[in-house]
Amino acid sequence: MGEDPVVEVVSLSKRFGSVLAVDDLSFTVGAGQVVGLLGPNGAGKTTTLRLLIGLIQADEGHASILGEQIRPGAPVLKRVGSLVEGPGFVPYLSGRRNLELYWRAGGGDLATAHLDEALALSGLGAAAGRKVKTYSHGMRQRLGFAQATLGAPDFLILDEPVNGLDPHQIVEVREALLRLADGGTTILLSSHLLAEVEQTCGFVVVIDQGRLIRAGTVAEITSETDSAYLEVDDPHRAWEVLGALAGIRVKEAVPPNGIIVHLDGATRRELVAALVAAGIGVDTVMARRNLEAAFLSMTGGEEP
Amino acid sequence: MIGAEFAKQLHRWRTRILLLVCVAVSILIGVGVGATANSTVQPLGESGLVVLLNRSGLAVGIAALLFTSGLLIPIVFAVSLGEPLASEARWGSLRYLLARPVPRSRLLFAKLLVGLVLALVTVILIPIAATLVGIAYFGWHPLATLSGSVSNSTFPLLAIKHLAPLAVSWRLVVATLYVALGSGALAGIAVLVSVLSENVLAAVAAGIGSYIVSDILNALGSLHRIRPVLPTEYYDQWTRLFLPGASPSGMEHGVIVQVGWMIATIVPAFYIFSRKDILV
Repeated sequence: MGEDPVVEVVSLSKRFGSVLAVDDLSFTVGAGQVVGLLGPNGAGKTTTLRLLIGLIQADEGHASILGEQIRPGAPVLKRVGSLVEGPGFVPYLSGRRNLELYWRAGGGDLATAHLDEALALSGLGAAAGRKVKTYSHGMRQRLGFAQATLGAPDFLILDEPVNGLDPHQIVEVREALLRLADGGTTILLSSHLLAEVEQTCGFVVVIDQGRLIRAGTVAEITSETDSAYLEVDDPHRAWEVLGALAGIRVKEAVPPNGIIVHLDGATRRELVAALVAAGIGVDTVMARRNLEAAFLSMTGGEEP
Repeated sequence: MIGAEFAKQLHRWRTRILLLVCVAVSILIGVGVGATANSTVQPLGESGLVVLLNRSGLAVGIAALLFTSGLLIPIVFAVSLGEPLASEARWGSLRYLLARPVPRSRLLFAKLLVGLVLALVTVILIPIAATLVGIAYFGWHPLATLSGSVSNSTFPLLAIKHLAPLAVSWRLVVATLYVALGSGALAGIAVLVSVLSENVLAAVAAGIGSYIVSDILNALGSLHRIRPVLPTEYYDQWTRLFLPGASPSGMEHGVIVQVGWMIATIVPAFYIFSRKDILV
């Protein structure tokens, strides 16, 4: 790329008592990238995001955003919007008033908040004038998304941004994210909806037990050739045939007719030949996995 | 930031209710005294002073301060200073305030300043409201007090003395500020627990509880050595302000003790808050 990364995480570690939540974690996020932070529950995703906005402090290593090291109240946080572990608002104030006071509390001039644009992005309409305590979970989530985009930040940190949204709202948020990314905003988002990540992110960082497992483009990760995805007309018999074949490891059944195979010396052509020889119809053979399959193989089958 | 904090707190029902309760209690005290006082006298703490309530409206203000200083005023300070930060933590909005480019100490300072101002306004309204009701009943007259000794005489040697209304007014202002400062230790403890626990109930209970414990320790003769540093030891010294010719020397000690407690609690609260991991 040639540009300095927007986010640089270097050998970051954080321990809570006996639990090592983040363990020597390093990754970068380039300017304009939309990066998915993936990992099973308890992998350290939220701790990493909290470290990035100065809510918690690292025991070792450091994180910097736009070249400035992160610490509580760091000036660079002016250029960062965040939605971490769900929205949080003063319940007796309206959505609009919450955003105004949030912006003013951060020392910002309301003229620079782009409040109307942010509220338009939330799609709350007239409900922005209602007290937050009357909001549904989805409405709070959308207001949280609007809050994160106040002031047109250069870098957005979003933790499960579509949590609690209905399918229409998910599409709206996805489109909004892509529009922001097109406008040059760098985005780091964590989500357990891998299909969503695959549609939104160009890059992923996979962590497990606080450690980096894999980082790269979605295309790289889903195109790794040591796995194959097959769809057959008799998955039960195919499982038996493949289980007896040398040079492969049958990884997982993907209902109704899919099987993920880890190649350990064998080729996809040999797989197909063995299945056809056994009288099993092969409908699909793909080198490319979807992100979910890739994630599952990287994390030992644990859900994100 | 301070303006945003004022806007938040002034919109709260909690703030308004505290204020309304204090004013309502003051008016009730005024009406209660006014409706029943033909010759009502009110002893002022342990000062040996008795105020004749029906001689001056100002006496009703003094009585209201006396009646509310035991519990209501400490509650006002414990809630106003111990609750705002913990509430933000409970709503989940604290992490977003702390993800802004503002030093944490400034956020805590804004919350304490606003809480302090609102608590002070609420407490100051107590003697004002009661005095106004009192003036409506008894007028703007010198304060009549009864003091003397009964120790060496078959007949008590008591004397009625008078203090000019303006002098009483100033002393009532000083007394109110002293009572407010008397909640300094309690408020400091509430703030410290609020920072440590991020829990509203724990913060307020710790503040109020500290005064209850202090009162209990104060009552134990065997613990007389620690009395000088207990937050409630000099709490009632303001009543001596209305003792004609008396020097309010105990109040100086009270100020020193309260300031000491505030330093001992608020400074660690700032230190801890500036460094702690925010997990709520």
